[in-house]
Amino acid sequence: MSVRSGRADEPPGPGARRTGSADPRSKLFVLLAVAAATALSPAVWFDLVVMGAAAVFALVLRRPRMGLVGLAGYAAMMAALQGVPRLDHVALRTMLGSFGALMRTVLPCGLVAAVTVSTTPVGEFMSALNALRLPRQVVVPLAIMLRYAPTVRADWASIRDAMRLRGIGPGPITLVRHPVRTIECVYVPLLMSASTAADELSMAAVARGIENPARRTCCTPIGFGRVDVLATAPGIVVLVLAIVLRVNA
Amino acid sequence: MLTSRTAPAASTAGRLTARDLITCGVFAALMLFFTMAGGALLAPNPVLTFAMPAAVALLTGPVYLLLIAKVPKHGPVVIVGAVLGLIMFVTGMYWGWAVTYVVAGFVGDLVAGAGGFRSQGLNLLSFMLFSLNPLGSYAMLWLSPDSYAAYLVGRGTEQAYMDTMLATGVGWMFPAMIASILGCALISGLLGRRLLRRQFEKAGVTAR
Repeated sequence: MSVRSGRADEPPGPGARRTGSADPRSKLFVLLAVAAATALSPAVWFDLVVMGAAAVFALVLRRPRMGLVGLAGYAAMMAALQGVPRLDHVALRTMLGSFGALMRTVLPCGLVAAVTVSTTPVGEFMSALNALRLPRQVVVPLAIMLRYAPTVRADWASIRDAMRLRGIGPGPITLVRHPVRTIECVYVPLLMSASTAADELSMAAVARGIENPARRTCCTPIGFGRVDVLATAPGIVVLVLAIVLRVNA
Repeated sequence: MLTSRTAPAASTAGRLTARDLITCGVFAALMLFFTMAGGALLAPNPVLTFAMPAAVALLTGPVYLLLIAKVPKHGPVVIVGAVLGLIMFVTGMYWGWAVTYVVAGFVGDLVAGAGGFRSQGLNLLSFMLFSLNPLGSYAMLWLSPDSYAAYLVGRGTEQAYMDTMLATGVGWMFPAMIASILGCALISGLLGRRLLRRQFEKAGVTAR
């Protein structure tokens, strides 16, 4: 269970400015703007606008498939939940309704986050956060967390397979019958592999000069360009709209 | 911004090294994984949503304790709280949760720090207090139910959900929630301590 590379880790070829990718700072801005807009959202129709903006963002950053999958999922969910208010069963209605409400806020944010993560190599992300003058104590853990999160999922899948292979199903039945053993089987490998990964990543990072107090540089220059205008536009629109609607309400 | 430079570390002198920061990042990813695992199942249900913090507390104990054992300094818990709070805000959760995540990080850090990060009891207590962080997304329900209802209904939560939630969330529910979180955190922490002693200390994973 070594550290596998996340999706965003292929470095661009030498000299090749990342094609079609915006400055990580503009992506972070859109991420925060969309999160704030959903938090301020005054009505259901506004959630649709936010989702549309998130899809536009995906399109601008050349992740049309992600945008389409997100939109399709969103549309399918909305369509499926159309009948909910007419259901007779109150408990069922509230459960599905609240599920829909949660998804309506989480899906746009999740789409923007997924596009951001998939289009931003860790190095660029770190130089953007440094450019924002965030303290090292936040930049490094945040970058590592984004890098390591897909690995946790992959590790968990391998652990589940290994447990099945040895006849220890990770399901709830085994958990009830042998709680301590099941917990050990899940936590020990996950935590061990995390500890090893932390050590390996630290050695690699130190070897590459992460402790160097000098200002960090980056091979791929980041800066505000034409793409950024397009990329930030959806974020600006929904944020301004949300604030205006709130103030007027 | 964070405590490592200003606050004197009790046992291990000094600021956080790059290695410590990377360990924090990796363990934050694990905390996120278990928080999501607990939250995804329970949060969308108006009644079970009150059990979500307890489920998260039940799952995250070993991770939290191993983090403290690996980096026994001021800072890691604050960092994990801040990073997870940021993730919660960015993924569209109620903003109160993000705030309490950061607060819980500071509280957990101070409590564990009081024992120099080596005291088993204080580390456990620190985890139990840290586990109270999801209360941020429910506290409004008791502090000002009307504005909370307006907030949720405004963003499209169905009125019936609110009614069920408000009916379930009567006076005794808040203390019950705190008790269930503390209880689950205690169980999880004790299990984590057992794992730490039986597996990780022998393997030399923890800081000496």
